[in-house]
Amino acid sequence: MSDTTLDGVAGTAAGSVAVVHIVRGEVDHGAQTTHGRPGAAFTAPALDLDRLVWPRSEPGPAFQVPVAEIVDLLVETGEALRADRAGLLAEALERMVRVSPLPAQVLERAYAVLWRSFRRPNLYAQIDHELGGTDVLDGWREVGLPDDRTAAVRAFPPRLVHIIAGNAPGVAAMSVVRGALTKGVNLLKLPSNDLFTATAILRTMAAVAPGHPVVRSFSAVYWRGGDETVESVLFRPQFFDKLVAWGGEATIRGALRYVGPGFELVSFDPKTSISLIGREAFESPETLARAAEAGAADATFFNQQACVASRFQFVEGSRDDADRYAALLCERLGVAREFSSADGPRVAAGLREEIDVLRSLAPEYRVWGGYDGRGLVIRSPEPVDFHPDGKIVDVVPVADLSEAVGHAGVATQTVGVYPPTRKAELRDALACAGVQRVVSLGGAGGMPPGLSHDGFYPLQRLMRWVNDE
Amino acid sequence: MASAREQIRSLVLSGDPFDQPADELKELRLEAARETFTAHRERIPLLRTRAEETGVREITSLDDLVPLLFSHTSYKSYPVSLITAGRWDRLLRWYTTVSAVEPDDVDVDGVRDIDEWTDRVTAAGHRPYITSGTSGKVSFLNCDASDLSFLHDILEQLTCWPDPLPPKPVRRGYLLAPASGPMRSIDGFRWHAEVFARPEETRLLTEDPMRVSELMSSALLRRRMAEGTATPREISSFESASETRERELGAALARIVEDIAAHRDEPLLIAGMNNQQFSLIQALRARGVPDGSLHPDTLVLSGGGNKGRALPDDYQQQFAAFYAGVRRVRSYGMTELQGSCLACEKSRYHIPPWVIPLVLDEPGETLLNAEHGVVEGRFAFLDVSLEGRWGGLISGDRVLVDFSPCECGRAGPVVLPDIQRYGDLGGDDKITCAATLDSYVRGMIHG
Repeated sequence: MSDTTLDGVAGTAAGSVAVVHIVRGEVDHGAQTTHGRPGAAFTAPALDLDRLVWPRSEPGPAFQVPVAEIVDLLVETGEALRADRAGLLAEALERMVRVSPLPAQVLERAYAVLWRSFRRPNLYAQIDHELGGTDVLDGWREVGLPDDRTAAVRAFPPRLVHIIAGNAPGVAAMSVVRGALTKGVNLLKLPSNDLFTATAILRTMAAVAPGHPVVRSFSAVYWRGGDETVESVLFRPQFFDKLVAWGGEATIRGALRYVGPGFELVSFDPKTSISLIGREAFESPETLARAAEAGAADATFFNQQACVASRFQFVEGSRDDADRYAALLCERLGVAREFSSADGPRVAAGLREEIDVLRSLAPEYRVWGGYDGRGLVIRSPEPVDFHPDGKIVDVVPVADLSEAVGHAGVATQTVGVYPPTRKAELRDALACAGVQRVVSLGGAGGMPPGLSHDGFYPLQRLMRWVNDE
Repeated sequence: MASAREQIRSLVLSGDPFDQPADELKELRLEAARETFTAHRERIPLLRTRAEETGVREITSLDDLVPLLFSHTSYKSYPVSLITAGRWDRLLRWYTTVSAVEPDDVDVDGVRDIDEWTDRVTAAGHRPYITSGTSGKVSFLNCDASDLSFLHDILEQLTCWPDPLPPKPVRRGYLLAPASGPMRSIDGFRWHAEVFARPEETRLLTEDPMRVSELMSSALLRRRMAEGTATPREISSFESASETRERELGAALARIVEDIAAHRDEPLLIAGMNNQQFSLIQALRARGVPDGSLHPDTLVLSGGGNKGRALPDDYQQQFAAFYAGVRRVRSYGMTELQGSCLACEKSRYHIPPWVIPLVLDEPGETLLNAEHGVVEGRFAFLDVSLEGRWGGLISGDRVLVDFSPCECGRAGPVVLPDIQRYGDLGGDDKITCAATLDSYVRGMIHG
C-alpha cells in the first residue's frame, strides 16, 4: 500500500464518531464495534439481540398507561428538547454536522424546532383525526352494528420495528411521537445519515421521566441496513407485528422479503414532488414574485433532500413566460430559509455534464444559475430524464395546468399549486393520477399533524384493531 | 517529425508496446495529451465549455486533465424524448456536442428510427458504438475511421499478449453474438474471426443484426410506464417477446454446444460476452465436455459487464477452469477506451501507452497518481489515440494501480486484478424518503 492510501485510512480512523444506543430506554454501554466505510467510519455498541425484543408472553410496559399521561410526557419531553439543558441535542447536532450531507445551519434550525412535534394540540390532532378520540386507545369503544347489534373495538398497542429515514431530523421526532401514542413497543433502526437524532430525543425523554413505561418501550440501535444476521432474526411475527419502513427503494424491497402472515409492512414509500404554476402568476410583477418565492421555498425544503421538495415545476404559459418565472425562481433558490441554506451542495459531476449538454441545445432548453449549489433552473420542453437534485429545478411550460397532471403519478407525493384557488379544479385529477397531497404553493414543507401521510393515516395503520363482538 | 499522438499510436506495431522506457513514455504521453486537448477543444463543444468553465487553457501536468474528464453519462446525456418523438436533427445536434462530428456531415433526412439514424452517422464515416446500461438508455461513443483501423491493428498485433497469436485464419469459429450491430464487442468478435478463424466455418448465435431500438425498448417502455400510458397488454407483450428471444437464443446456443462438442479436438475460436460464455460453459459441462478438454490452440474471447443478469461470484474461476490450457484474452477494459489493459504473466493488467491512467479519489475530483507504489481509487483515463471523440473519462471502477515497475519486469503502471465497481461496493445505507419515479417502474420489467 502506498503512503497516500495509508494516510487516508489513518485519518478517518482517528476521526470516527461514537454512536449511542438506547436499549429499552437506557443507554447501552456495551463494547463498541466499527461500522461504515473509510472516510465515514463510526463505532456503535455490539447488538444483544435478546434485549431488542419484548417477549410476547407479557404486555409491553406502556400498554395500560392512559393516553393523557403519555401526552403529558411527550409535551414535557418537547419542552425539555426546546431547553436542551443537558445538552443532548447540542451533542447530537455536533456529531450530525460531521456526517450529514446537510449544512450545519440547516441542521441547527431543524434541531431548534424538533420540540414542535411534541406540542399538545399536535398530539391531540393526530389522536382525534386519525383514531376518532382517546377512548379507543384507552379502552374499548362501543360501536353499533346493523340489526341492532353492538360490538366493541380497541386500538390495541402494537409491536413495531421502525426503519427510519435520515434525510430530515423531523422523521425521528415523528417516529418517536407516533410510537409513543400507540403505547406499543418500538425498536428504531438508525439510518447511517442520521445516527443521532432519535437517540437524543429518547435520552431527553428518559431524563424527563426515568424508567417511565413509555421510556422503557423504546430502543434505538444501528445495524447495517439489509444485514441478514440481524434482520432475519428480528423481522418475525414472534417478536413484532409491523415493520414501519421509510423510503429508499432498497430498504423497502429488502423489507419485503420478511413480510408474511403476521408480519406486516407499513411503508412510507420514497416519493418525489412537483409544482403547478397557473397563468395568474403573470398578472403582475408582484404575483410573479410571489409565485417564484413560493416555488423556491417548496424546491429548497431541506436543500431538496426531502420527499416534499419540488423538483419539476409546470408553468401555464408560453416559453417566454416560463423563462420569466425560471429566472426569478433561480434568484430565489439562493436565499436562506428556515429549512434551507443559501448555499447547497455543489452539483454532482454527472448531472453537471447532462446540464452542460442541455445548454448547448438552446433554444429548446435554457439554463439559469451555476453549479455552486446556490440553485439552478432548467427550462425544457418536457421534463428532463435525470433526477434534479441539490437545488435544481426543471421548469416546463404547458398550455394548460391540466396538461401537467399527466406528469404526476404514484411516485408523486406533494403537488404545490399557485394560486391556491386553482387547487379545486385540479385535485381530483391529481388524486386519480396517484398524488397524495395537494397544497398551496409554498406550503409543501412540514406536514400538518392529523392529516394522512403517503395516502394513509399512520397512527390508525400502526394500531392493532381488535374486536369484541 | 511525427506528432506525439502518431508516435504513441505507432507503438502498437513495435512488437511490445507495453515495455516502453517509463520516463520517455511519460513525456510523450503528456505531449500527446496537449495535442489531443488542442485538437478536440476546437471540435467538441462539451470539451470547450468544460475548458472555459474550469479555466484550463493548456495541459502542463496531469492535474490539468482532471477537470476536463467526462463522466460516462455524457455519452447518454440526450433527452430520450428526442428519440421517442423522432427529433433526429436534434439528436444529431446533441451528438455533435459530445463528439468530433460536424452537423453538416450527416444527412438525417427521412430517418425513421434510431437504427436508421445510427446508420446515417456510420455512412458519414463515423461509427457510434453503443453501450447499454441497466436503465436501458444507451450511450453513443463516437469513433472515426482511423479509430477503427487502430482497433484492428491492436487485435492483429496484441491478441493474447504477452504471447501474441499469429494472425492466421485456422480455427473453427463460434461467435455468441448477432451478425452485426453497433457494439464494439460485436465488431471485435467479427474482426477476430476474420483474422483467426476460417470464414466458412464460423457460426453466429443469430443472423439477425442487433438493433439499437431493441436495446432501447425497455427504456422506451419504462418511459411510457412512468407516464402512465403503457397498457397491460404492451407490458405483457414486451415480456413475452423477451422470453421468446431468450428461448431462440437458448436453441441457438444448444446447436453451438453440439457443434463444439463434436469439434473439440480442433482449434476453435469462441467469442462471447460473459453471460453467454457462462451459459455455454454450463451447457458444455452438462453435455459431458470436461474442463480443460478443448484443443490448446483454441482462442477464447470474453468480457463485458453482466448487466441485469447476475453471474455467480466465482464465474471468472469457472471460466479459468473450463478453459484451462487454451489461449484466452485476459484483459481489463471498457468500450470507452481503445484496446484493453492486457494481463501479463503475473496477471497484472498493463495499461497501453496511448492510455494515460488517472487514479482519482472516489468523488472523482483529486488526482492520486504516484511516482511509485500502489494507489487505490477511481479509474479515470485520457485515451490520446481517439480521434472521433474526447478520450478523457471517469469510470465507475474502483481499482488498485501499481505505479512501480511490474513483477513481470516491464515498466508500470499496472492495474491489479482486484477490480470492483463502486456501485457494487454497497456504499453506506443512507435512507431518504426522496426518490425518483424510477423506483416505481423498475422491477416491473426485466432488463
